[in-house]
Amino acid sequence: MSNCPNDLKYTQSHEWIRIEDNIATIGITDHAQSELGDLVYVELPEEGAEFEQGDEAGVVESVKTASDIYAPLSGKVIAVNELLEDAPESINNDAYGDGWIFQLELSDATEVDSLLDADDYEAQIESDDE
Amino acid sequence: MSKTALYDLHLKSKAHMVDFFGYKLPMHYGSQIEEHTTVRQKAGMFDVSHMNVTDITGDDAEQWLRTLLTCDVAKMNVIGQAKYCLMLNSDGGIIDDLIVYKMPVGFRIVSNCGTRERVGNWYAEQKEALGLKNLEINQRSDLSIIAVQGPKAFAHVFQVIYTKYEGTKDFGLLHHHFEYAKDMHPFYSRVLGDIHLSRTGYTGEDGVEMILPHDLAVQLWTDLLEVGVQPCGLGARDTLRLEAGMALYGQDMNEDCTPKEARLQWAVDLKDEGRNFIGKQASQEREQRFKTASFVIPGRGIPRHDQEIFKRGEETACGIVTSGTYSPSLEIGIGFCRIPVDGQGSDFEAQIRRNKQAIELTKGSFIRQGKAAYTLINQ
Repeated sequence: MSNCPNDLKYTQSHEWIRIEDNIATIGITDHAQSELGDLVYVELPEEGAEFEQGDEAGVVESVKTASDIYAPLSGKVIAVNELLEDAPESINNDAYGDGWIFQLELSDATEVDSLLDADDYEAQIESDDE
Repeated sequence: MSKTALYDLHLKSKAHMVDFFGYKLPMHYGSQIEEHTTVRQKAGMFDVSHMNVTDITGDDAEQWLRTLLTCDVAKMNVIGQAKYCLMLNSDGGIIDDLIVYKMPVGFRIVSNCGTRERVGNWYAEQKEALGLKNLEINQRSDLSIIAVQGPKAFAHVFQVIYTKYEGTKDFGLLHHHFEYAKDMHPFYSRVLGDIHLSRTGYTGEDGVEMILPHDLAVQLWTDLLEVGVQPCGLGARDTLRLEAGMALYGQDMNEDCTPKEARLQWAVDLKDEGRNFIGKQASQEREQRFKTASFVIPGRGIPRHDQEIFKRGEETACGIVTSGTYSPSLEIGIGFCRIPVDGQGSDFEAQIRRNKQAIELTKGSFIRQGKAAYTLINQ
């Protein structure tokens, strides 16, 4: 069984999103980190960068493979988790906590409706497994 | 999908299972890097039962293998001796790389999983073609393989023998068998009953590969887990072999390339001029189109299989990464590449995702017995 907290939103590309007021905190899911294996590099977006929903925002790279991180919503980067530069394994150890990657100040809150909830996301990864 | 005899034990150890050429095998058991480091510093164990074990017996076995393999099995004088070599097609392309053992009766070949069907067909064709009557080819699907690798490999094995078997009727024989195996040189093996112990491996560390019946494998794996030996998956196996400078069939060699192109000419024995093995002439006379080299990326970047290589500043690719990874021991990107035959140490860069990264060609294994062992070619 996957670990997908109910209070978070998700994308098909395996990001999780925690919405608090107009701020979205973003990381990759526990399922994604488990598929990638040990992470060794995280390429963070730049603070102040502005993204449209679906833009490439960064890269996570494991021993095995590299994977893009997409901006799940439109907005401006107001914080990045610089600790990941020295400790990318935080994503493996605590994907939904210490492993957060960046924060966006949202420019269009209605986009939140396009995100998946925990049940939808779990259904997706189960069908991916088949 | 096939399962190895150890499948249920892998699930119990919380393995992340993947499909690998028709087998469900562990990729890792939590952390590939931890498994890698454990093998370098202590010891770990691998289920490599997916490998293709074939016994070749009969009076014609030696003659047949002298025609099939790039090494000369007639030179294997000692029972248990092992030799790394290749099997070529008539164009000199590599059908497979393998280890051949001289057994008490006949020979044993351990070859790759991904080539099982191709190699099985090749054996059948070449048995037919050479018209040899006294030849038995027996695929041993009744055997598992466990590799224990690392500086403490034998220490762990003896821990099992003392804690689990002392006082039992098996103790004397087991103890003697492993004691003898411990003192053997690399590329020697010994067979006692159903247990074949081989001083070989795919990690660049000391260790032993054990080819044995499934029920004994389950017992031994369970014993090794109980004394705390770390199970390791395909992920660590790949980073360990890459650091050790060892080629992987399907990536670093295939049927399109010759031993010279794959940097494996050392596994081709040409000494007996009268011995005509399949692919001998073609592989030696064919023009070498590229060479294989090891490289590091001094900057930040991890090379991956199939990425393109460029001469620095040029727009057209001139080569390809055959294997690449992050090296957990060196903490940089390492790999093998195919480049033009005249390529020099600092000539190249690799296309790593959106960026081109300078690569430096290297000599030697990246790591041997736990220590950095490579040099930059331009130093």
